[in-house]
Amino acid sequence: MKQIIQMERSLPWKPDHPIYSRIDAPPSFKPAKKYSDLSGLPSLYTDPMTKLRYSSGEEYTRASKLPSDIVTGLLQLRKANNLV
Amino acid sequence: MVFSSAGLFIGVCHLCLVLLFYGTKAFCINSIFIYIRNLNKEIYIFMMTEPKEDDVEEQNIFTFQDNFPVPDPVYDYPESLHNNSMPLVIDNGTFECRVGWATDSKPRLTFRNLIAKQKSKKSPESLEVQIGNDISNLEVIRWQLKSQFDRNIITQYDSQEQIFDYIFSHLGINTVGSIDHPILLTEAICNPNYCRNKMSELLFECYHVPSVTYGIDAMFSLHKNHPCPETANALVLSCGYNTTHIIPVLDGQVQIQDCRRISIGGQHMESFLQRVLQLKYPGHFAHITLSRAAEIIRKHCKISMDYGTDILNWASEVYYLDNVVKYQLPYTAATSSALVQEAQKEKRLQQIKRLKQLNAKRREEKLAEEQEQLNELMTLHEMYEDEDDETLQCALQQHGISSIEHLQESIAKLGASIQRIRLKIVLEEVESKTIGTDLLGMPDEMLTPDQQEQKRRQRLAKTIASEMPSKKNKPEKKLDLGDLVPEDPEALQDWVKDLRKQRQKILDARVARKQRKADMTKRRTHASQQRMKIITELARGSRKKKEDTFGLNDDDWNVYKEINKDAGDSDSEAEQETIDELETLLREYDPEFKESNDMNKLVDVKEYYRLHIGVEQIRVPELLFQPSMIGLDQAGIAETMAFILSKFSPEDQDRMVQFVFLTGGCASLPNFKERIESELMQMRPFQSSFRVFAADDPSLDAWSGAQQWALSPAFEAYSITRADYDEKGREYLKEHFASNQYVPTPKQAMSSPAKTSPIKGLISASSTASTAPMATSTTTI
Repeated sequence: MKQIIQMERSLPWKPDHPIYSRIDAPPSFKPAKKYSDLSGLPSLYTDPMTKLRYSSGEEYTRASKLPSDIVTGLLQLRKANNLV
Repeated sequence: MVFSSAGLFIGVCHLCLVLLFYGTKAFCINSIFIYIRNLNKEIYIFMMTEPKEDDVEEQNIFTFQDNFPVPDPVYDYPESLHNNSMPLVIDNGTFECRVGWATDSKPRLTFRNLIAKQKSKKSPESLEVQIGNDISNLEVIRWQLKSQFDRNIITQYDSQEQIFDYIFSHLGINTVGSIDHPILLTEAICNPNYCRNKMSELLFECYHVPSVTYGIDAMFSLHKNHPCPETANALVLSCGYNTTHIIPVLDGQVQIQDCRRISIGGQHMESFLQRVLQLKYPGHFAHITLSRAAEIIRKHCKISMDYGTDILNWASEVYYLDNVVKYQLPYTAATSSALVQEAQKEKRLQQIKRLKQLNAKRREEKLAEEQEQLNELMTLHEMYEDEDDETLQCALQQHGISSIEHLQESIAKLGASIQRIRLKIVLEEVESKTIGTDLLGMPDEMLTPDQQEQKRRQRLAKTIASEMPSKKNKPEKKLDLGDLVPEDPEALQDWVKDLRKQRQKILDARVARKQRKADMTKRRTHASQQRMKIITELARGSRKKKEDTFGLNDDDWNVYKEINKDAGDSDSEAEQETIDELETLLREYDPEFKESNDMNKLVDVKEYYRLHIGVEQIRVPELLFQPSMIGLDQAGIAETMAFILSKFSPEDQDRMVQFVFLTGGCASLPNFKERIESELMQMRPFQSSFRVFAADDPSLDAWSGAQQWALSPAFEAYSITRADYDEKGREYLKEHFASNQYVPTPKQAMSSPAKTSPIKGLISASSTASTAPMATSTTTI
């Protein structure tokens, strides 16, 4: 698939030609809203240790007790685990 | 009366208390109201001695249906369809493939576009291929499922060929060498020419179809639902399994360069929900399958009208309890911990019993044997007493005994051993017979002769037990806490309190240790700095070597305990024992403790196997509007719609929003239409009008629209015939209202080795003049 798209992209299309790779939706102009990784509620805080987002103190205690595989799983879910 | 007044009184007291406690929290009327509602519940529970919470809970519990697909039937190929070029309509979607004749009102075949290859049991060499609905259980073979799609375009043409085989054989087409029907096939928007090239090649070269027509599924759906599709102005929102497209349509023409595709669809929602639940319930990892996630989405997910406020509702416990959906996973009651323990105990007891029986049997055998020996020796001894020397000598030699003294010795030995075994047997019998009924303390007059006999045995056993050198009764190290249970209730209270304190102390110590351990692993905490200090101190001390007094004092060794990262975990076993002891005592004497513990146990069994679908009900579909929730850096549906509209003149925008059309599988989510309306309300100018329509059957209308169009007289004019294919190239496409725009592959394509032709210069010279499709590809055939 990547090959096909790459091949197609390398061709000298005119600017108004529709090609598969050109109709990808643009990135969002609004800042992404932050939601708690644990509950899905809007979250204001990030745990500096695990980088998990949480929305309340009670959630923080839960977050800090989570085993590491769950933590990475939660981060993977929003593709946030490879930033560091 | 009494009850109600009591309830009222309690309610008032409670209210005061709660207001006191939550005074800081209950700052708005709304939350006070919630507390009052809460209170009502509590009072209700208080007054009914048995809380009927169970009934409330039960109503939101569901079980997974786990519907398995039914294999598709093989249809007849009626005579009427022979040689009359009846079009065959195939909606080749990424989720499902729908196939039917143009005269059918519903697709004959609807199956998941999936292929499973596995080694057949009969002949391990050959691969068994299962397709679509023949796959009985998707989850079992999920790892070897294949699809011909990559995102929304087809890349695996061998898989596609197998799908076509499946389609044609299930329709019963039995013509030899060719499929004698025009094909109407859906394709992705902006399907790359390469893909169409391959598809045409497959259909014309492999199946020898007379003609083929390509079209966009969303446009067929619009065709079905729009009153006059030829002049339609619309904004089509097609929300599929892998991708979502937003297609502007003006005067019946697709404005294809202004289409946009968001790489999010039903599949993403499914895997998101699956993952969220798996992380929420790590214990049920294997039970939460994609099919089950899909089932939850189909049944319970809805699009929130206003996500920001709706999600906050879920933070409130009352709302949660009212709206949560619970899924009961299949479970077997036997797996509950208490029962398992019981069963294990039972098993162990049985084992002990068997061993005891075995032992007793062996002992009896030994007894008999020794008795026999003794008898023989006794006869020998009698002989000695009878002074029959010769025979005696003979007999002694037979038994391997040298002298009379030896004989007497062995007789005494055997006698003692027999005595011992007898005693043991008696002891055993007594133990097994009279467990529990201790007759020793009873006076003789009250007992029946039988019981008296038993009593005699017991007494005997007791004296034996006390005399026997007791190996078993080693002084066990035990906390003698249990011995000191005070009689008087007040003292008991204190004692219980003390116990509780002790337990809490140990628990606190444990928490503190854990905390210290956690701190030590981090840098720059006080604990870790302290540790480093001690280590350096130790190191320095060893280097000086002036006078090594380390170890003289026992406390010195504690240093190592302190610098050990998992400080003092070694003695936690003993600690656990103490805690267990304390807990058993507390369970016995402290009603509160018992209650709190029992509650936990009750919840465990059933509740443990229950999945709570709370906020996920709206969180999952919200992905369509906020792809950032799964880390996708594309704008959501609403924002992309605004983006597309902004590319048109205000008049055109106005014309388009009069028919905002929703189609595709995800459009059947509840509230989808309403949400789009509210989003449009936000993005459209003040007091402008717009209308949103949803397809009658979002997932089926693409096929129905295609089927209707296949019957129309215009259809034939737009189909690509074998002659077109041969002459104008494999990627050639005749444009119609629902098709992609055909732009021949630009010249440079010929530089790729597959398409290089010896007459390249000639053709490129001739084709530059016209935009007509190039015939270059024909040269490679």
